[in-house]
Amino acid sequence: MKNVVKKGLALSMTAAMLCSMSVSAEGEYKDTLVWGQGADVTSMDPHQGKETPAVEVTDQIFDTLLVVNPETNELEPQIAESWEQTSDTSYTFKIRQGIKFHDGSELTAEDVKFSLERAINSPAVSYVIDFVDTVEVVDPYTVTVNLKAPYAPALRNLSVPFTAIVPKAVVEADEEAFRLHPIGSGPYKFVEWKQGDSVTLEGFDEYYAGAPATKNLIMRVIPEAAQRTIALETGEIDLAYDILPNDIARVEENEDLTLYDVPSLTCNYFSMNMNKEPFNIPEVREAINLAIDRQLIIDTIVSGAGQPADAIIAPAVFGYTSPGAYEYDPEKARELLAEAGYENGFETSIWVNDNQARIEVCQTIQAMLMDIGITCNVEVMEFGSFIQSTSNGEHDMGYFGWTTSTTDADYTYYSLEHSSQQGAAGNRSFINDPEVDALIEKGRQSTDEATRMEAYSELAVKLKEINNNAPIYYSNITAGASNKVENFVMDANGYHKLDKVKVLE
Amino acid sequence: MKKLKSEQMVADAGRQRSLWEETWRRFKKNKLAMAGMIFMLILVVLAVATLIIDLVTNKSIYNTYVIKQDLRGRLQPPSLAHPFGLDEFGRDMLFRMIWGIRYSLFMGTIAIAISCLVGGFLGAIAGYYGGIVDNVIMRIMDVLLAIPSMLLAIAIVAAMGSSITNLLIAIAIAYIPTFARTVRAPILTIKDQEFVEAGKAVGASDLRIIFKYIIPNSMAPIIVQATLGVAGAILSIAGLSFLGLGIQPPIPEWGAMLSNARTYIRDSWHITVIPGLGIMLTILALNVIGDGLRDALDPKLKN
Repeated sequence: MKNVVKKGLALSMTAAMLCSMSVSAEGEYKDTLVWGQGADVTSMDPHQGKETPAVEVTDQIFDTLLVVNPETNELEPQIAESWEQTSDTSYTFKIRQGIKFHDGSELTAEDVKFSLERAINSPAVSYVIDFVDTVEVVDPYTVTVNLKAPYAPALRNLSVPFTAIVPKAVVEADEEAFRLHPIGSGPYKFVEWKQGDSVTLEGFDEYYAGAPATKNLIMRVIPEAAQRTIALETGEIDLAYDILPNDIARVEENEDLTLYDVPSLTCNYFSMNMNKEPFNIPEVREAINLAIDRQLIIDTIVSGAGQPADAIIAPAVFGYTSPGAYEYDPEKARELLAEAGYENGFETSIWVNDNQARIEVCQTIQAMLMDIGITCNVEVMEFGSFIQSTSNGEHDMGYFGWTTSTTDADYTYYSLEHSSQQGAAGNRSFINDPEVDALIEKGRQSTDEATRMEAYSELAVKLKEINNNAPIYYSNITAGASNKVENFVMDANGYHKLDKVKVLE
Repeated sequence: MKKLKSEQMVADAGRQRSLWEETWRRFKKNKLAMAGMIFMLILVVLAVATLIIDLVTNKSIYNTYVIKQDLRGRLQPPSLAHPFGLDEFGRDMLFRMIWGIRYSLFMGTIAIAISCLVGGFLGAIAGYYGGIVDNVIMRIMDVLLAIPSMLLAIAIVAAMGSSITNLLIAIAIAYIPTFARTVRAPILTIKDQEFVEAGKAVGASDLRIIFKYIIPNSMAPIIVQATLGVAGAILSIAGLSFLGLGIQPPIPEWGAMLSNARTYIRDSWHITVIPGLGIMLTILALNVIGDGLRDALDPKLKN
């Protein structure tokens, strides 16, 4: 049996099949786990590649100061062994001693300072960490982080994978080489990246928490979602991320497969550009929100893998309170449009990036808006130009998904609703409301949970009155796995950790 | 028949008409080509009918049957009520297929008409004048030919933005070199023949010689090329809209329908297979017509 395994992946899979046929689940585990995902890594540099497909891989290579336990949603120590808030604006972290980078060098406070500063200076991820003013090295195992102003979710932000700790010496020596061959302190070492095809990782024996359960990881890029399901069914991969809504039933019904399905931290919504007519009129925005039958979208297009949204943040996020569900009332919507002077409707457009599931939702929205007399063109754009032109405010309406990576409401409210964040930073409805700003700032700066909750519930109600965005649904995050996969825990961000996952022969 | 023939031989201007009648007579004998022709005729009639219906009913049929969604009934397989089934938004596939004909057919035809005119003109000039003019034009055409036509079309649509007009232009440009070559080749042989020299001798202008003497005599390959070109252009349109370029939802263009349906192929075959078959049959029909025309127009196969 062991001989067969060594002969390579293909053979070991055949062997696994034979094995399962002869029913011998007495605890032999495979040495390689293969998972499939929809897109390739954008950058192996954790301070660059913040897109989920990149983090799904780099999160295995790099560690952060703190980590959020996906099961309990509590902060847990990782590189930092312990931490302490010494004042409103400063935190002190004790670095775990003896942590090794993959090149054998030791991780010290200098690396932490260097990494955090590097993240702050990286335009791609700066927004997560720009509340940090300075990072001081107290001694080789102690770091003090000073904030610009009191910032309640600071620790949560430091657990986001884009604030990963990288080895200072390696990055400084040759940044380009580091991007091609990343070196971190996480459970897996980088081996190979075939662009557009696969990434191979190998377990790091000297990982501070012990060597990972499965020796090798292989990530395969399988862009077509239906193909991922097929690959899972044939046993080509052990784990498939993002099961398409219409494949969910197929995976569920398959006796050899398990569907993992948890509420994500993502809200799918569309923004109405308040700088443009007629979206500057509150009645029009309200009418549009009234015209959307959210439950119908979830029951059909989304195949039940989500909940209707009533706010721009998901229920699992700290700071969420329901301002009351959105009603579906096309009759009232038509009246409101007439009041606003658009009894014959108007023509507008909704922009969306070229993602099949999103386009389908937009087409449904298009049909629902047509019911109240609005002609809405769906314009599908390539992701890069979509982000660029919506950042410039060229859109009428834009369909987005936003994930509250820190599980704290501030991350979303500040980016999407604060007047200082218009455009690229995230506020693409171009809302500029002093009351909203004040509530966001109150929630951001107070460290008292009750005060924050109060501010956020008030904010949720206020935003629902303004109707600058139309939250549609909170998507579930899905993955399919072979029944032989053990210990797989879904992360609500989609940043699934794989170091404890084992696959039965 | 005999009488007709002798009349034509007498009638001076009848020479050209006889060519067409002769061609038609031989084309009719080709059963496959006739079947293709009938299929295309039906499509044209349907497409024109939908245009008229839209005009008369002010698009109300279009709005209530072609793009109206019924999400609760989505992905219904073909049945008596809906012979082609319902698509992923619960829209009737039959209506969508019929309303989709016009995009493939008319856009393909217009694109080829544009490239035929532009390419034909360039080819005629190059062939007739020869020398440096020929060299410059044909080398430019060679450069265009060296770029895969699909890639060129994608680049043009990507640069100019996604719209039906840009898609048309993109495909038209991609086909220009083919027509330039098709026209140039026969002109090279025709331009030295006696009747052309006779034209020159009586002082006809170059343009007159090209359009009155040369082009009519090199029509055969152009017609065949154009028929096959339309097939190619329809395929390109379908391909580009499959890639999400050009056609925006909810327009029922076949390629776009195919593309949107592909994620459902394992559970609801009908929404992928039907537009796929539609595209395939249209291309096939145009190809057999093209082949039939080529045979019918070939003087060597006269009897």
